[in-house]
Amino acid sequence: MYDASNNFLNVHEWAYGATEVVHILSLAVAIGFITLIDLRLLGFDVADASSARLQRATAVGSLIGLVVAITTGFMVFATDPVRYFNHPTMRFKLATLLVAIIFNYSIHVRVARGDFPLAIRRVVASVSLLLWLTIVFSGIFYSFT
Amino acid sequence: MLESLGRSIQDLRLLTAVRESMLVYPILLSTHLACIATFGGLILVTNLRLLDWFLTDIPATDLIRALRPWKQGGLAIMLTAGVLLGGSKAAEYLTNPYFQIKLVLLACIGVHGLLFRRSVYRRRESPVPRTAHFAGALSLMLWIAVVSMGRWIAYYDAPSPAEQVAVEMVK
Repeated sequence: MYDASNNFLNVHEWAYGATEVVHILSLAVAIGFITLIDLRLLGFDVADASSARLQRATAVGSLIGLVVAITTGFMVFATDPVRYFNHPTMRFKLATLLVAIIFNYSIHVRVARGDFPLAIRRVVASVSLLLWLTIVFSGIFYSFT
Repeated sequence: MLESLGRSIQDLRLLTAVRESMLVYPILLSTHLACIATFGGLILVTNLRLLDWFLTDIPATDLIRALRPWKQGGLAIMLTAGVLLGGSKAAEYLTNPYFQIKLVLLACIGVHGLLFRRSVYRRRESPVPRTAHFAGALSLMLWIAVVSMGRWIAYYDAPSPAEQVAVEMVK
């Protein structure tokens, strides 16, 4: 049986804080890169670069950011798994995260790289921003609800 | 001194309202974090370009100019939310060493922006690579440190009144 009281992050407070810092920094990398593409998809000028160019330049970076953010998120989750798993706000966050990842790697990437009408590009960028911001908001609201 | 200053700041009606609201405080905190994720990410984009790590076929000057309004707008929202959050607990925050370091780092970021204004950020032609690399690396380190200190504020245990008395007696 897993005993969270022996978890490294629970024993060492500095490690808990360091994990949270890495979580925030890595989610900023991933969401920041995606925001750059979304600005372009919304129709704003990003130094004459196409959304395909921006997507290619940031793909590896945002993937690394996502993997690190999910890993550190899971490390924090493991300090008190029962409470996190049973919390409705955390369940909502995890469900939204799943939707956002699927959306990003199916529709978002395809639209950024392809040749789609502006209306579709705008809808995809708005959905993308909304999903990622919802995840950030529910991450904070989790500790207040 | 800092604590009484903080107390008079946080007693302002607006900041008292922020502190006592069940909803406003988490909304401000989420907004602060959302700005770090989106507009902070754009700061990262600028710095990586200055470092010549990606998008090297796009002139750094053009990228900086295109992203500037977004970063400025984002910074304004981030600072507004941050001031309201910090101000609502000013007595606690002003005496928190991590918050103090964060303020110093933010001041350094301001100085950094002014220092490289002519040579990098507002330069018409491409900046000298060495200067651009230096400015980008420094900015990246300062922002990472600011975000880290922001999270670390929560990890400071202020000495209890009894401990303070003990410290005074030892002195």
